[in-house]
Amino acid sequence: MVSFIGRSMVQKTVTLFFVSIVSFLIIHLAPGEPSQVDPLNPKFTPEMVERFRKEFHLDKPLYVQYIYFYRDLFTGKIVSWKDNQSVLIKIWERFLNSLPLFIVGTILTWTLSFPVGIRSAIFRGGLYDRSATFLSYLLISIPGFFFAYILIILVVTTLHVPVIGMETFGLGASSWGNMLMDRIWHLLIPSVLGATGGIAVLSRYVRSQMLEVEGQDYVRTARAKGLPPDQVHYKHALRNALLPFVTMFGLILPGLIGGSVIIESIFSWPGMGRMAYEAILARDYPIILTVNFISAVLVLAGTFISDILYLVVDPRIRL
Amino acid sequence: MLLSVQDLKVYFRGRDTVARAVDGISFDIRHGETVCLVGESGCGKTVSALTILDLIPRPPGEVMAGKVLFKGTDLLKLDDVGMQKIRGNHIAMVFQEPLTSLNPVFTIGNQIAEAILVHEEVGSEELRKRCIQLLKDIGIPSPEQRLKDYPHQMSGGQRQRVMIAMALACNPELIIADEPTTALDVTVQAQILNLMQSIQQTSAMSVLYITHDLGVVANIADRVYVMYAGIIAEQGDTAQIFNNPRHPYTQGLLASLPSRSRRGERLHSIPGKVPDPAYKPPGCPFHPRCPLAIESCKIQFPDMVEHGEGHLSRCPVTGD
Repeated sequence: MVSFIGRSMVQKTVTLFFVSIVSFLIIHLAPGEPSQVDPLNPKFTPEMVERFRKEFHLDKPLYVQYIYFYRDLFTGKIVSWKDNQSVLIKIWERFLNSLPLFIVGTILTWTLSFPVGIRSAIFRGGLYDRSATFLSYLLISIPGFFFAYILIILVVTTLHVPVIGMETFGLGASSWGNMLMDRIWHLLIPSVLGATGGIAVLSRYVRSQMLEVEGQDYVRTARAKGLPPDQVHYKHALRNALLPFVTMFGLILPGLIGGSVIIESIFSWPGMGRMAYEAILARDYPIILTVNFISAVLVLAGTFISDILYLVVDPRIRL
Repeated sequence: MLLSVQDLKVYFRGRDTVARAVDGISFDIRHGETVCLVGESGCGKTVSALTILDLIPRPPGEVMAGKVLFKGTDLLKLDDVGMQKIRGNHIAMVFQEPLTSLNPVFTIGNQIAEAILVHEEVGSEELRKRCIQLLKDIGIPSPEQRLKDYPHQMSGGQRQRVMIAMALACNPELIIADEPTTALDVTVQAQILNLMQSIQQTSAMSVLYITHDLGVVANIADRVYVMYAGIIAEQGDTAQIFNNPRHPYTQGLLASLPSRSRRGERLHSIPGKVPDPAYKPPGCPFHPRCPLAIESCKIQFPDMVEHGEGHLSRCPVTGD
């Protein structure tokens, strides 16, 4: 166990090092650089561009830039090229904005997909299963932005609740209860929207996993013992069907930093996704690379957590 | 009579075919008796066994006709709850694959205890004692520790012993064993067979033993039913079947056994192969492979012919 943790740490550090190199190279291979984003801007004289390049070490060889970047990142001194503010503070603020969306969305996804998928599998081919299948394919096929506008129109015109942004502008003087409700409404619609796709896909996974396990010999053994259907399905089948989802559970973690570009853009939500997207347009390398680095760390941490969880839930695995 | 299966038909519906897996079989099991159901793979013996406990997947499986009388009640007419009370409690089952028949994520103690708890109310201390006693009875050393083991920590033979322990948990009147030794080493096979026999002698329960291994049959059976393509080809006491086989299929099977007197010769084999249950030949299903087939075998489905006390064979040619 201890040796597994040690080995895993070393492996993951090496992986992270390579990820840092590759992502750095990819960003620099992409056409354009911060000094060239707006070449037609008359204020951007060649002298300014030159000064800009010098300022951000863009005139130095790549490996020097790489070292400068990661030195700044680890000392926390890294600043955005656009507004000269600390990248880590910017990310932290945006992260706090995205967090409620992420939490509500994830909870919705994981609490709804499982009951739907399990029920579909148990009553395979029945009315419930067929409607759930139809609905999930419908939700998978509808583009998120389109569905978002339908939802917005519905909520705004029929319920008269404004849902754009994180809160209604100018509500500051209102009562405490009103403000809370306002926040909840603003949070709910984008979260539901973010979760629908996830629910549709995950419930299909749960269904197929459950169906596979229901056909196993040990489920027949459980039935042959005279166990009632609930125990057969929810004890013997479900416990085995859940095993693969441990992997997916670990991989939720990177979603923390990713945010959702589309949903945050539609709802003018000042979250991580939008910040990263805008940083890419502006070729703001420090922000892009920092977000990239943090999500790499989270992916590796997520796989590590899955490995440990497997150890807990599957007795056949010994590390 | 403990169990009496009468004219049972189980069909499996495909997209545009109907596989007649079990096509009208009847057999009886008396108290304390070991009955063997013998036949090649695909002849319908496993489906017959699973149907007794309503364990065939439905759909595609479907019971078309027949009765399964257990102490006078028709099991096919029971509702789900009634069936659950029979399973494990009165009729228990041991499956072919010990490797996959135990749930990998629960300890064997948990799985045995569950088999008891579902039918009886037992306190935790007594439950533990009974589980340990069961493991002792089936010959697993240091049962106190093994209770906490998971199936993957045991060998194939031990897992099959655990399956047998689970089947014995509620002292059923009948155990259905579906090729319980097929997946095991020959030496382990012999141990499991001895175990089954000694259990049966001490507890006086009946056993329906399903196998394709005639050697096993000769060892343990009181009476034998030979199945071919979903029907019973021949039935009788073990001695009658082995000493005086009347159906050409049984004769062919026995001739295929290696024996000391025919040392060095090639083994006999029955030409052709088992018909697809969706496309069975008309008349006697064995006629395309039968050395004695006459013209009428191709048209007329044969009746049972009696050759002596309880010895019946479905062949008009050898019957005369």
